[in-house]
Amino acid sequence: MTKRTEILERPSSQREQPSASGDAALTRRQGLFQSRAWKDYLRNRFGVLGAIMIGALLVITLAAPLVTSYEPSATDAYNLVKPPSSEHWLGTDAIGRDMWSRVVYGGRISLLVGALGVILQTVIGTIMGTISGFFGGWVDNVIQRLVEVMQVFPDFMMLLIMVSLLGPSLVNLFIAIALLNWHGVCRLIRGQILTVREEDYILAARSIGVDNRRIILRHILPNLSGIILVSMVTSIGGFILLEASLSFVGLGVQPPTPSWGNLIFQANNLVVLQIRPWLWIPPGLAVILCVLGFNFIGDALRDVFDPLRQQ
Amino acid sequence: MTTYIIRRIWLIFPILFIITIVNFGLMHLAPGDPTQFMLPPDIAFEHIEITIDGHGYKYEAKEGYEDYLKEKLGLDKPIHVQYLRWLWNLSQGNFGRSMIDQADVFEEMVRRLPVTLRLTVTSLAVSLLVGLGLGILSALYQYSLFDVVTTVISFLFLSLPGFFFLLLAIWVFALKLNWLPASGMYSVGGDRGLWDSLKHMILPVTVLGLGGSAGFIRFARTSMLEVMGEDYVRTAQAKGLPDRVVIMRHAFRNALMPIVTIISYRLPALFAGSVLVERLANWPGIGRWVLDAALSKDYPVMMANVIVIAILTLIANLIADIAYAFVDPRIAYN
Repeated sequence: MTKRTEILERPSSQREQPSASGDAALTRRQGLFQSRAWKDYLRNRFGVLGAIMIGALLVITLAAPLVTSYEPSATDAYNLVKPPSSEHWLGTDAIGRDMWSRVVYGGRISLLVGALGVILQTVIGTIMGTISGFFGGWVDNVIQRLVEVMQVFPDFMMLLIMVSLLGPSLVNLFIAIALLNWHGVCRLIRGQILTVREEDYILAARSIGVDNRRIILRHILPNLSGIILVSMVTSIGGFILLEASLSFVGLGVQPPTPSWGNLIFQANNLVVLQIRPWLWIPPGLAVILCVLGFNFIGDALRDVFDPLRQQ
Repeated sequence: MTTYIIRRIWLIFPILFIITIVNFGLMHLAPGDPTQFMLPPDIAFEHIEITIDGHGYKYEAKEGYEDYLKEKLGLDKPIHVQYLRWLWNLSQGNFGRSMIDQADVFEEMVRRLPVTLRLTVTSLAVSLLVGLGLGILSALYQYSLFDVVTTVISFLFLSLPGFFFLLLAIWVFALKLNWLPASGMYSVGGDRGLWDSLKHMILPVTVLGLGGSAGFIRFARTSMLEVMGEDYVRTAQAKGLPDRVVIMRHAFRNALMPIVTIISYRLPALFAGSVLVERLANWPGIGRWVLDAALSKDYPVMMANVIVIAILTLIANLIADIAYAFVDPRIAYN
């Protein structure tokens, strides 16, 4: 018993509150649209705005062939660096490619990198955090030291180094992003598990002989799904920024594949920067809208899943 | 308190160990054999064969030259011996040489660090000023229009890609309006005076500073709201102190106590943020150096910078934690 009390991180007064995700799990059975979580979410104006922004972005990028009339890589020697017109909504670039089409298709790549990076990061972070929090002992010690090391490294510089070591490619990009960012998820999950594992239902499950694997998979992780979802949504924005920054210096997504970052990279040229703003401002605005949308959603979700914060 | 400090210092060693291992490991992951492209200046003459023909001369390594070089660089030793040697060199301030221009990494770092510090320290000051100011005000006027606008602003700063923000700023203020210089640290042929360098600092520092203020806005707002609900603030209000005194004396100071720790934990992000800003503003600092090194696969330069920043951060965190324990003795007893 003494060991148990030692590892408690939160004071007991907080633990007596209905746990955030447990609440969500209860409401989920009534159907999503009747649930309290759904109503709470709709009450958050920024959250609704973010959902509309991201929804629109997803529809446009997924329906890319329908909303664009040119191939993103099709060149047109008669229409080089044309400013926006009714033919080419966002103008054309130095070799006559339609910028609207490139921004839309670039969005597919940027969102893909963000989504895959977040999924990989969440998987690594959840596994490490679960091991660390559930089993404790020296494993926990080693993993926590590793987490602290990750925190003192300057992340973007490490990312540059990793990509330079692995070679720039789409796959290496999201692997590197995930490998350098799992520690946040790990800390989050560990902290939650330290709280949840003291709950009575875990004790009950253990007392009827449920093994560790089943306790983790059936009783602990489903309870953390809300928190995991919040962490995923709040990370996507950061990942899209990282992808854009890396592609902007030429170490991310490689041309001719368009991504928002390497489209902005065209502004690296003083002439483009000064007199051809249609080449670099739209992809930049797209990044801002996208990241803003995900941050709005993430913040609203956090309010929904964390009753402590609402008070 | 003493036990806390000793325990806190002791915690640094395993982390330091892992940092060096990660660094050393990454360096060994680097593709290519370092002997393939190096010809150290003090290589023994008998290992080179020089042939002179009609077009000039060329030199070629003789048989056994690679073994000689590996032995000279210590690459023939077992890996743990190499690691210890490397560690010893680091502690002597010997970070090796750049693979591109053979410059001594340590000397170059000493030259570049002040440039980066000028950028990061001033932009941190901007972040603090804007972030704490807006955050505290929006906590005092919770749910007002000002609060809502501040929330939107903090979201916006959080979501702006710094490099795009700087591009926009350069485009508007330097190229279109022509108010400020687009890049560089001084004007060419200028007097390098205070005004000259300030003018060059405005754009990069504002961009980096505003971008970093989002976190401080949120911290100051939540922390201030939390403190305003504490018993000692209610007591102060109950005994009839004017609002100004309650806020300045009782709430403000307590709310901002963790700021030192927060700043120290933000150091890596500050250095990381300097990469693209230095690249766009064309400042010869650490950030641009690491970027150039990453582009040209100059491993000694990349590794040296990362390890120095990591260790500096570690020390800053240590100092901040100890300082915080002095300000708030509850920490040391928990």
